Amino acid sequence: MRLLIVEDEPDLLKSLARALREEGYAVDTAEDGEDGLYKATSTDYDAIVLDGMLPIMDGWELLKELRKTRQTPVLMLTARDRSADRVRGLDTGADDYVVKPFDLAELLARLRAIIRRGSKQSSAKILLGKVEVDTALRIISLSGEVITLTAREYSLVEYLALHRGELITRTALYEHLFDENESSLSNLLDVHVSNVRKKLGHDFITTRRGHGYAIEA
Amino acid sequence: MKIFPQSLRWRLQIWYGLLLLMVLCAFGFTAHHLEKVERLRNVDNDLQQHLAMVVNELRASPQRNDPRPDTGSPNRPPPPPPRPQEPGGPPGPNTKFDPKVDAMFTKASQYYYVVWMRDKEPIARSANAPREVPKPERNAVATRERGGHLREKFLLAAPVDCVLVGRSMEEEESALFFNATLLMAVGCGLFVISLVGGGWLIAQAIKPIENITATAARIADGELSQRIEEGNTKSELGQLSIALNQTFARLEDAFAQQQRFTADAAHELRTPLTVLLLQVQTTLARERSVEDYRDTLQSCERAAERMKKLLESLLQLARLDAREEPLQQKSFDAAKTAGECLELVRPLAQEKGIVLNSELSPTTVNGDADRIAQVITNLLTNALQHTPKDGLVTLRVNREGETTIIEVSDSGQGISWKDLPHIFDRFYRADKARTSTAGRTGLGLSIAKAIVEAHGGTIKAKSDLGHGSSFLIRLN
Repeated sequence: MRLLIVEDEPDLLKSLARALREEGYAVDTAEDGEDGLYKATSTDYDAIVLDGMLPIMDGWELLKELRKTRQTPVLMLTARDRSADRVRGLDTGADDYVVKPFDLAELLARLRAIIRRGSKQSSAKILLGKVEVDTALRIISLSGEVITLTAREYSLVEYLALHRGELITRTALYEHLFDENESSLSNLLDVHVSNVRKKLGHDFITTRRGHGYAIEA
Repeated sequence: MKIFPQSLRWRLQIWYGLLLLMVLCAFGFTAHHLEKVERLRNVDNDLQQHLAMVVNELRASPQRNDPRPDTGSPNRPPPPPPRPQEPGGPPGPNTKFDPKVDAMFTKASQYYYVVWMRDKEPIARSANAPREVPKPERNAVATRERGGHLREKFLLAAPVDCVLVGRSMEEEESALFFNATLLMAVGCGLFVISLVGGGWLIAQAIKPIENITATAARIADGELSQRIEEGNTKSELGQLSIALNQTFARLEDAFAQQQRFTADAAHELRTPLTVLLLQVQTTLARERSVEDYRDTLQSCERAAERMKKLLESLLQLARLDAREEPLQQKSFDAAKTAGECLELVRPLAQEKGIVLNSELSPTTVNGDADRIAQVITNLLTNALQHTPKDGLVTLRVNREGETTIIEVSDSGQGISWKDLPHIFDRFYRADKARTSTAGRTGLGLSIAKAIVEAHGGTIKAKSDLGHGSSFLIRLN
């Protein structure tokens, strides 16, 4: 899962990015509205965390521009808790709204929820044969037994599971699993796929040569 | 809410009713009494005249056939009776009255007479006289009331022993009773009409008070925009309504300002608090390296410093608002103070590559040097933040008559005409984005304004967008 955080407060941006990376998300950052809009329109993010008050272009304006081309799920962050501000955010096209100061656990849960909604998945649990993906607890179990995966491996499985039955290209996988600072030239993806197969069974992820990967529905 | 006006109204009504009742009773009784006295006097006069007539008749009877009648002058002293009297010899008082006189003593006229000689039995009486008329005692008073309704007047004098004239008072009494009843009825009617009318008047007078109470209650419930209907502005209650409305308007303004200020302050505190919370929660999620912990703590320290700065600014503003900020009143040289401020910001200017200019001519100001220094430093820092590299910031201090003028101008980006009227507002930010990294709270100019105004001075800003802005302080 790849996220974009648009936030002008450096300390807040830094710690939020770290918290989300530790949750296994690939995280890009932007410090002003203009940069944020550029990144949001040029990359297919799974979700955007957007601050309301930003230099150059504020969050609501950015959102309005973004909605002209993309339907990326957006979680608004704001220090204003008046209902008029909330209504404005939601009306402009935000998918959810979190008021500062927020609880990290709540922010993460809301993020998971808008990502699920973005892929038309209403339940937190996805069942794929013997394998169950619990997106709320970030746990994968095989025949009822919890399997230990690294954060990146989990993200790989979760992304494919949310788009089960679809062919996901290597480029798309790179775009959603790695952030802007990581090299996509490595064979890291193959290593992760191989590790997942070892843990969940060889047939769990199918390879379409030259095209990409898929999990059968 | 209703109890007070009700009770006031009822108390007024009761007092008013009692007073009215007393006045009506006093008037009624006096009228009744006067009428009674007047009627008695009339009756007594009539009795007296009738008595005189009878006496006259008795005395005149010996000369009944005399061609010189002397009726018509009843008050003439009677001629001395013949003395000594021989029993049966000399003629006694004539009891045969002139028919004209007799006509005056009939049932219709109500008057009757009784005449006694020495005996208990009367020697003459009118036909309509009551059967039993006791002969008055010698020492009895000349007027008496008898049998409830009879009033009699008598004379113990010659030529007879006693003459009594009387009449029934029934007619008078019933007339008196009728008039008293009429008086009472009119009185009761007046009382009821006045009570109702008075009640209505009181209700009208009290109505504005009820309005005021209802409006005040609605305001107390939080509807601060409610106002009292002022109605007749000349009346005392109209004046009260106007005064109260002005008070309510000021309260509403103060309340709205306070609310906005609190909301802004809370908003400003949210960001550092978010950083603090997020840093701590993320860091505590797992084991970290010493470097990580140090980083987190430094970030927390920055957030805490920011909150501290904001809090100090808020407190200073609150104290200035409440006029609790102790301002020293000492004479000092504003140019010297300004020079010190200039030295304070010089490192920042050098770091940003900005030229600092100054034109300082000595001028004495009465006030708090530290606070004025705070204002100048704030304006200089502000100017440095809004001026690009190689720009120019100028500080001027001089005197115009009795007024000291301190001016800080820069060659920065200037302030747009849209923002200019608001830059002294609390938490107002021209760029709308947080620029807290530069250490600003959004309160600097508000504090500067509050301090200058506490010194009885003024602060104004003017700007040429794209060419710089300048702040002008005038202190007397």
